[in-house]
Amino acid sequence: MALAQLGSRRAAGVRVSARGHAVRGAASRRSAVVVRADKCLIVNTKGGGHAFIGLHLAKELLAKGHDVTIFNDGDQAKLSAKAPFKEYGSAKLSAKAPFKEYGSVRGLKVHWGSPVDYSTYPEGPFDVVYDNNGKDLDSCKPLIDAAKGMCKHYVFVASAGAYKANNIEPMHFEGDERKSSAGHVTVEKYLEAEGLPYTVFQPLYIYGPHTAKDCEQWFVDRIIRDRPVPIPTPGVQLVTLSHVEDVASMLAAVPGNPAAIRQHYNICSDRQISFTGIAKAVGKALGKEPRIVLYSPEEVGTGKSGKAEGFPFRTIHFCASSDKAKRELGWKPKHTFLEDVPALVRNYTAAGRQHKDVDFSVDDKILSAMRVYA
Amino acid sequence: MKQAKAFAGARVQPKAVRCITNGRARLAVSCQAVEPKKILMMGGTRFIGLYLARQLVEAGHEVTLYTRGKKAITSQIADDTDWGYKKFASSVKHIAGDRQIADDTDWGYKKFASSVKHIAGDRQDFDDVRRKLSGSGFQVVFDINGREAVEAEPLLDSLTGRGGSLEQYIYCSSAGVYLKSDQMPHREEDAVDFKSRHKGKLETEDLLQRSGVNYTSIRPVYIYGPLNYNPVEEFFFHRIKAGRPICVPGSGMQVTQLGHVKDLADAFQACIGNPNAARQVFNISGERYVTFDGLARACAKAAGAPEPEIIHFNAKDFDFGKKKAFPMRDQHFYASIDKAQALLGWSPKYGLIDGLKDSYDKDFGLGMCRKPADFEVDDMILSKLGKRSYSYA
Repeated sequence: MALAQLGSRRAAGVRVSARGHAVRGAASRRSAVVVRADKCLIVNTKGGGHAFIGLHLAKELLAKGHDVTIFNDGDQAKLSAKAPFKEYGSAKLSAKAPFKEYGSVRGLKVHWGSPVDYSTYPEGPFDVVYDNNGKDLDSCKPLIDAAKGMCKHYVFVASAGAYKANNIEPMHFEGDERKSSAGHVTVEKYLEAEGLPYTVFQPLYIYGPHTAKDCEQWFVDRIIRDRPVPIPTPGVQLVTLSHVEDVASMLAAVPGNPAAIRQHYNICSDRQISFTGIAKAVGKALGKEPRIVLYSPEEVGTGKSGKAEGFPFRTIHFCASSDKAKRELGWKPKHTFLEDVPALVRNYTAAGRQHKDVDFSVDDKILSAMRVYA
Repeated sequence: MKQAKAFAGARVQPKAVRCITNGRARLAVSCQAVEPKKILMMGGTRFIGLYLARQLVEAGHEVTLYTRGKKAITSQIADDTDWGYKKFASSVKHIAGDRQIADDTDWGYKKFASSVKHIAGDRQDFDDVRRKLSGSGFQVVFDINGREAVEAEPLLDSLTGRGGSLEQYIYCSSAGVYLKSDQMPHREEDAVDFKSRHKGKLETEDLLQRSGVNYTSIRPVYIYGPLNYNPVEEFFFHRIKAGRPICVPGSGMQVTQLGHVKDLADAFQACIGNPNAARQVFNISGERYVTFDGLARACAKAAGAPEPEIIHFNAKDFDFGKKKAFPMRDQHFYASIDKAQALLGWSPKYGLIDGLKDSYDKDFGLGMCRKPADFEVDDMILSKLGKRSYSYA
């Protein structure tokens, strides 16, 4: 047995004899059932809210004894032509969160390239392919075509943003109607038509270590500087915020699980929190009373139809049920946002973000329209 | 799939079974035998108990209702033979599914009325309760109307202890015990509010837990269905019928949750002889949550009416005196049901709109209601907001 495999079996908790065979005690029987060391490929996006999923998913899969390669989108030629990205080759990208963490993950193989350019693809074959990159058919099709017939399981990390808002029941369940314009839906239809053994996951907003996109930090930016927090009225809107580790653990539950094939799952926390609730929780962690200013984006002229310029979330209820994953995948979230807030605030201050400049121009526009003075 | 109603008295117990419908695995119910129990129900003539008592008798249990006898011990429910309903049911045939056929008929009602037993007494007379219940041999207690811990004590005293027959004490608590929170839904492990108006229920749960008895506490959210004496859906139906706008406090984006009374009865029944129910608390309600505005729309759909006009008002601008302007507490109020789904083998059968339709078709839509229409509060709101006043059609 190769050294690497031996090491990964040990890492998975399988007791191994001197010749590398799994020792059949009760405990190793449990872990031996799980491990069929799959070769996993995670195709990862270069930015945005999903960028750090690859890192955390890789850690989960490695801990289960799988072989993991991240194929990160980072096309130097494309990027280097555009300002300000002209400085960001894959070398620069890999110096930013979450990519700079890749080096610290033992056993993780990282490959940079472009998922739409086969010449940049890593060596296969792979048993499980995760697409945590594309959002529409153009960006996803090349990978799907390459994976077809090769992989035992194709996992598409889509988005719950594809659900159509419902004006009676705000919670999104798998199977609910989705927007006809959603690019993800076209990709799913292609996966279905091409007969891949696919699973589709639909995350919502994600927070946690090494993110490339702010979530709760927007609230900390304002409260820690004793600035008013402008929140789209009425402030009771509910949003599901999920810790990236819970997202990763659900994605990692897929290899070796045929029941998940051709299924959709929402990936999210089983809790929701209101906008004012987030402000209050952050304030409590900072020992400050947040100054909440409720405003109408439409009246102030900074947005409409569920959007508000400068606000990190869509302005209507946005939550989904992950009960299906609980029932079928045996998954359970370990985090709740409210419990995580103190640690999130500590991470913010440990990184010295309270000393950094923040662009409050949209806040000022809103506050002056509301005749509130910072 | 309603549990089979065997001719000789089925002894069936809903049990979790996974079935795949529409590509989604769902918990459905299949039937499995549970031995018949001698059941005592405290209350049982008003709403929840009406449905539960019926189901328990159908399942072959011996049911005794302990009530003061002020209301008829048995009364026909909307599903029973109402001449008009029977006609409706026979013309509808199988369109609404199994549920319609399983609902009461003349035969079912007569059987129920003759099978159910009664103990007449005031449960507030604790010594009398002890006298009446000592040595009675009840195996399962459904405490539907208990509000304070002292009310449960005589039951425990007389039915547990040496020679006691009690196997299970199943209590109807309330999700109103949860401490208000910005993070939702309420889950069974969340903090409770000992200062709330439901603290009596909390104290009862506490007593049950400390007593060591095999108890289960059920915490419903808002209950609805035919014969609801709490004007939840009735509030909306009155306004929809009158063609009036529906006045909703605040933004109308507050999120809440309704549970059909028959689903609640199923949940209670699923506790009997169920080891997973032992010493546990379960939230029971519908699977989906609903906004205040959404509920107005859902009631209109259920009534077959067009989308209603919704008018928002700030409750702080008014003094309504003793009258309630809206049937729901002005906050997010909903609870997760996944614990009951996982452990009790129960899942709600009614979605919101088909549940409201059941309530409408069998109750309000037949011209019945508990409270007559009263639009005084609405007119106050409308006039203050400068909206035109309405007259009855």
